[in-house]
Amino acid sequence: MRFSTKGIGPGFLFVILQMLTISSFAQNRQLYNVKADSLPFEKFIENLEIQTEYRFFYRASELKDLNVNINAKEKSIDEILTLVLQGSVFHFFIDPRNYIYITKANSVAVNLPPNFFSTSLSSGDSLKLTDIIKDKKNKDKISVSLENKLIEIGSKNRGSSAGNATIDGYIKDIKTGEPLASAALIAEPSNAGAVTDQFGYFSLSLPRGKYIIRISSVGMKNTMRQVALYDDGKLNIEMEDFIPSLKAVIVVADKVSNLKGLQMGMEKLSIKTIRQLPVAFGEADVLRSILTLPGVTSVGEATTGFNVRGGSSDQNLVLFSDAAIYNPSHLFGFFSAFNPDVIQDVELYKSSIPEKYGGRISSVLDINNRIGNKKKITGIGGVSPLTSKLTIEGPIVKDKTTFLIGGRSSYSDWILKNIPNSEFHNSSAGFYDFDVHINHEFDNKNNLFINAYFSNDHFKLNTDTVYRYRNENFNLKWKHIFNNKLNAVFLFGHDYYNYTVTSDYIKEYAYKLAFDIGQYNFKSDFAYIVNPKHTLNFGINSIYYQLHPGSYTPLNSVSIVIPDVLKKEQGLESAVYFGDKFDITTNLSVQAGIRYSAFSLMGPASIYSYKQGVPRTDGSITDSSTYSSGKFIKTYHGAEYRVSVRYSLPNSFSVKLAFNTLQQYIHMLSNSTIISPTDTWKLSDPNIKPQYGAQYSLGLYKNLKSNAIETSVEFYYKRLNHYLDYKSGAKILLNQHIETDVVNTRGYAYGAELMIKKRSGKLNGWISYTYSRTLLRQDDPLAGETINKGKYYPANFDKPHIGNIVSNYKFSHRYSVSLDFAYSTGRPITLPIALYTYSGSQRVYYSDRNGYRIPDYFRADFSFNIEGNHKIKQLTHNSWSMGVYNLTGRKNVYSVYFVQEGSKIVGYKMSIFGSAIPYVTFNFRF
Amino acid sequence: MTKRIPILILLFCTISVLQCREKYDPPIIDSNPDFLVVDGILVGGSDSTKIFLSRTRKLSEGDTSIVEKGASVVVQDANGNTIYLLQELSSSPGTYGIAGMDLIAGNSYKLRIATLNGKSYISDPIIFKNTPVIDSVNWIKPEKDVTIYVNAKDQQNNTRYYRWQYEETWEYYSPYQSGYIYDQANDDVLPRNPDDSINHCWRTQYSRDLLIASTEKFSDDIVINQVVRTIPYGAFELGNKYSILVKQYTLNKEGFDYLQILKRVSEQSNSLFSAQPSQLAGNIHNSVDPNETVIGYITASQVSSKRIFIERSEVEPWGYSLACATRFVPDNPDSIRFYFQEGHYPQYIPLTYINGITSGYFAAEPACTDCRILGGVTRKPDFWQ
Repeated sequence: MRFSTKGIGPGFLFVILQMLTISSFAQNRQLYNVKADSLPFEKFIENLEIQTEYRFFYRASELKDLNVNINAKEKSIDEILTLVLQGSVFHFFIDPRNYIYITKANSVAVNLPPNFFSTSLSSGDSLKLTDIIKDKKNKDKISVSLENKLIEIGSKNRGSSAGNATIDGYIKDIKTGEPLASAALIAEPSNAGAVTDQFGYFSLSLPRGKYIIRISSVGMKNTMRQVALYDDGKLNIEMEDFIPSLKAVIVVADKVSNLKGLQMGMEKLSIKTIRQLPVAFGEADVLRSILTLPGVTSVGEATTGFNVRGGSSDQNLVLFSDAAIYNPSHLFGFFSAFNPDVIQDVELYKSSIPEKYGGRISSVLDINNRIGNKKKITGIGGVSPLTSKLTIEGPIVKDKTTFLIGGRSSYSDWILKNIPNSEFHNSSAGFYDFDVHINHEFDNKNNLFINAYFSNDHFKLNTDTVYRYRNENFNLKWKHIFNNKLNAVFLFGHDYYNYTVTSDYIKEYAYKLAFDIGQYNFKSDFAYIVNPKHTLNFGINSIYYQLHPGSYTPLNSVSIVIPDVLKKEQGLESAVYFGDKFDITTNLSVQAGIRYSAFSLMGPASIYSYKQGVPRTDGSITDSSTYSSGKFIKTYHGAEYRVSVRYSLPNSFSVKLAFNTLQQYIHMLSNSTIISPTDTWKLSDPNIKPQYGAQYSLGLYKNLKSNAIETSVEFYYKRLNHYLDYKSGAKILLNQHIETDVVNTRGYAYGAELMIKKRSGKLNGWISYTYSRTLLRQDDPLAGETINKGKYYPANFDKPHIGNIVSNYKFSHRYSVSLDFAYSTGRPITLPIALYTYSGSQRVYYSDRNGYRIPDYFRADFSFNIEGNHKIKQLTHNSWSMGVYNLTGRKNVYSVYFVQEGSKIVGYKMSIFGSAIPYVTFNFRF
Repeated sequence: MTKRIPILILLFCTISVLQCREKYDPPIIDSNPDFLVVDGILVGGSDSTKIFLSRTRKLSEGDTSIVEKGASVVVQDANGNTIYLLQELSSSPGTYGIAGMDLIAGNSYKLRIATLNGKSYISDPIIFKNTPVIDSVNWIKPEKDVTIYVNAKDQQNNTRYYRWQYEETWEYYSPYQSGYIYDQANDDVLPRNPDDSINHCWRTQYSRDLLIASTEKFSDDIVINQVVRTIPYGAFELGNKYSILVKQYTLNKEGFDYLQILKRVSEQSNSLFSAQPSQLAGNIHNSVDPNETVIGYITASQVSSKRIFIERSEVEPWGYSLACATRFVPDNPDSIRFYFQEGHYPQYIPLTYINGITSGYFAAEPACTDCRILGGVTRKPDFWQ
C-alpha cells in the first residue's frame, strides 16, 4: 500500500507533528528487548507481529533486501523502528489501531526524531513525505539502516559467481563532502582491505560473494556496508563525524593498519593531533609536531630544518599539496611555513619510501591540504601572540566545485616598533603566507585540483641590510578513473624559491644579492589493481630545474660594486617507476618497486676541469669547457630499489623488512648547521656527484588490548655517499667553481626506535625512545684538507638518546589537556681546547670537529584546550587554546660560543627559550 | 650579517621577557696540544719586522703567552740562501726583530725557524707585495662615540686584500700635581725635582683586533671608511689629546682567508646561522713532519702609515673626568709614616705643604697624582706635536 504525497505543505505538517508527538508519548509506552543479527526484514517483522499487538503493512518486494541488525533493550516500538529504518528509504507510521505502515520514499538519508510518525492519520490527511526527507536539518545524519541494507553491486543475473569483481568509489565526510584520505576498508570474511588515497578514492578487488565491509577513518564514526558483489561496480560511502556522546564510545580507526600495512617507518599525523601539541607561540606547527616522532631530530629550536634518521636537512623532500617547498620555515624557523587551517594531514616516510617519490635521499614529508567544504561557505580563523590567520572555504558550484583560501600574517613588525629599546627601532621581521586550493569534480571519474601557495618573509636587524625570501608554488592535478581497476593522477606544477639581500649602508657599496630556484614538474602516477593479490603502481616523473646560483649587483648608480652574476644552471631530472604490491598469502605481503632515475645537466654552461689526482683548487684548474644551450653536459642515471616485506604472525604481531636506495641530484649549500635564508642550491654537474643513500630496516609490531595499544620497534642502518661538506672557510655565495670549496663526505647512521602508542580513549598519546648515531667521514682525496684527519666524526644533529612523551587527556568533549615531554642528548659541538696569542689578542684553538656535546635537552610543555559550546545556532564556534611552552623554564642550550672580552676568552651558552613561555590562542569557525 | 644576529635572539628574549645568554664554562680540558704559533708580517724598507713566537696553552692558563725563547729566525731568499737574521728582543722575549730589510716586490722569501727543542720549521714561499699609501685617516663623532676610519685605494687595482694595525697614544695629566716626594729610607718628605714630575704621561696601546678588508667584489680597488677604532663616549683615551698611527699592509688571498676565518672564530659572537668553528692550515710547516700543526700565516709587504691627532676640544662634550679627593696629613712623623709609607692602602702621595696653625701635607691617592699608574710613561714620544 502507498500513501499519496500530495497535499499539505511542510509548514502545516510541522504543527501537526508537534501535537501528535505529544499524544504519542502516552500511547506507546510498552517496552521491548529486541535482538536481531542480519535478519531479513520480513522475518524480523514476523517476530514482532508474534510478540506484539502491532500489525505491519508493507510491500514485500521493496523490503526483500533489507536486513536487520539491532540490539536494543527497553525500547518502545517506535524507537525500535526508528533505529531499524532511520535514514533508509523507508518510513513508518503507526496509527491508533496499532497498524504500522512501512513506506518507501524517493530520497535517501533522513533522520527522523523518535515518534516522528508514530501516530495515526486519522484526519485522512496525506503527508508530503519527500519534503520531510529533504529537510536540511535532518540530512546530516547517517542512517543506521544503510548499514542494514544489503547493497547489490552488479547484476545478480549477469556473469558467473566465480572469479573476482572490483568495487571502487569515494569515501567522504557527509557533512562537508570532503574526501577522506587514508580511510580503511576491510571486507569480512575475506579480510582483504584497501585504503583510500588522498582523494578519498579506493578500489577493492574481491572474489564474488557476500561481504560485510567495515570502514574506519580517524575522527569519523565507524560504519559498515553489507555488500553482495556480483560484478564490478561503484560504492560511495559517506561517513559521519565522530561526535562523542556522553556515553563512552571508543573510536578505533586505522587500528590494524600498523600491522597490515606494508609501509615501514611511515608516520602520519592528522591536523587534530598536531593541534593538540603545545607550541611556543600558540600556532599549531606541522614541522615541530613531526619532531615528536621517533627518528626525527633537529639541530635546535630556532630551525625548522629537520633530520630524519641521520640525513641532513636538505635530504628531505617537503611536499605541500604536491609542491616542493625549498624553505619550509618562517621567521628564522620559529614558525613553519604551513597554515594549519588548510592542512588535512601530514605523512612522513622515513624508511620505505614509495617508488613514486624520489629526488631526496632521507625522507619524504607529504603535507596534504584539505578540500573546501562542498555544502556551504564556512570560515576558520585564529589569533595568537604573533600571528593571525583566516581561512574561508565553500562551494563555488554546490557539490561540484569548492574553494579553500587561507592566509596568515605576523604582526611582529608592529611589536618591534613598540619595544622600548632603541636597538630594535631600526629592525623589522615578519612574514605572511597565502594558499588557494580549488577542487572541481567533473563527474565520478574526473577530479581537478588547483593548488597555489605563496609565502614571503623579510627581516632587517638594526642594520640597513634587508633579507627577504619567498616561496611560490602552483600546480594543477587531475585525477582520472579509467575503470575500477585503473586510475591515474596527472600533475603539472611550478615551484619557485628565491631570496634577496640588499644593503645600502654605504651608498658606494650598496648591493643586492639574489638567488632563486624554479622547477617545472610533471608527474603521472597510475594504480592498477590486477586482482586482489596484485596492485601495480607505475608512472613517470619529470622535473626541469632552472636556478640562478647567485647574483651580486649594485643597488644604485653610485655604487662601485661590480656586478657578479653566476650563470644560470638548468637540468632535467626524470624517472620511471614500477611497483607491485603482492599479497602472497594473507600473512605474507611483498611490495617491490624499482625507480629508474636520470639527471642531466643542460647547457649553456661553463665547466672547469681539474688536474687529476691533486686537490681541487683555483690553481689546479686545467681547462674550462663551454657548452651551448640545451646540450646535455653530463647525465647521471641509476636504478633505485624499494622493497618491503611484511609477515603477520598470530596474536596481532607482525614483522617487516625493508630495503631502499635513493639518489639525490640537487644539493643544498650551507655553511651553517641549519636551514638559513642564505642557503643556496646546486645541481649535480661533472664535478659534483649525486648523493646516494641506502637503508636497511627491520620492524616488529605488536598490538595489545584489542589493538587499542600499538607497540613497535624498528631498527635501521643507512649509508650516505657523496654528501657535500665544506672546506674551512669555504666560499659558498657567488663561487664560480664551488667544487674547489666542497668535499665529498660519506657517512652511516644506525638506530633503534621504540614506540608505544595509544590512539583512543580519554587518555591517548605516545611514548617513543630512539637510539641513533650518525657518523660522517671526509676521505675525499680531492679535498686537500680533511676534517679530523679523515676519521669518522659525529654529524651536527647526532643525538644518541631521544625520548618523547606526548599525552592528551580529554575531560569531556569540551575540555582537554596535553602534557608533552622531550629529552635528547646534547648535540655535538666543537670546543676550544687551547689558547694562544695572535695579533695582540688571545685566540682559541678548537678541538676536532664535533668532539664535545652541549648539555642535554629537556622540555615539558602543557596546553589546555577549550572547545566552545556545541549549540548549533551561534554566529561563530570558538575555541581557546592556552598553554605553557617549556614549562620548567629550563634554559636549554642552543649553542655555545667563545669570545674575547678584554684579554679573556669567555664562553657563553645561548638559549632560544630561556623561561616558560605562556601563550593564548583564540580560534573561531563560522 | 652574523654580528647582528644576537640582536634577534635578544629580540625574542625581550618578547618572552627572559635572559638567553649565560656564562658557560666548558668541561675543563687539560690537554694542551702544544703547537707553535708564528705571528708577524715581513716588512720591507726602514720599518722594523717583528715575528712573535709562542706556544698554545691550556684554557685555564689565562692570557699570559708562553713565549718561545732562544729560537733562530731567519729570512731566506727564493734560492734558500739566508739573507737576514732576526734577533730576539731583550725587551720582549719571544719576539724576534730586524729593521730595514731590503725586500723586493714580486720576489718570494721564506721564513725559517729553528726552536730550542731541535725542531725546524719553514714557511711556504711568501711573495713580497707593494702597499699603496693610505689616502686618509679621519674620524667622526655622529652622536657620542668617536669612530676612526681609514680610506685607501690602489689605482692599479693590485692590492685587493688589506690589513691594518694601529698604535694609539694619548697624552694625559693626573688631576693633582705632586710637589713633594716621600723618602722611604729616611722617613722624610722632600720637595720633588721638576724632572721627576709624575703628572704628565703618554700611554701607547697596540691594536688587538684583526683589521682586514677585501675589495675583490668592487670594480675599483677602493676602501671607503673602513672602521679602525671606535672610542666609546667618555673614554680615558680622549681625556686630553689623542693620536693614532694607522699602518697599512697588503695581504695575499690565502693570508686574507686565514685571517678572516681566525677573526670569525675568535672575534665575532655566535649566531643563529653560525658556521662551524674551523682552523685553516697556515703557511708554516715542520720541515720533517708535515702533519704537525703550526698556527699562523706570515705575509710580506711594504707598510704605509698615517698619523692623526685628536684634541679633546674637538670632541666636546666628552664625559671623561677623574674625580679625586685629597686628604690632609698633619706634619708629624706618625701621620707621615702612616699615610705615605709602603703598606698603607692607598699609599698616599704628598701634593703640597700647608704652613698654618696645623701644618701638614695635602695628599692624594696614587691614581690621582701619579699618571704612570694608568699605564703611561712620562717621556714625551718623539712624534708628539
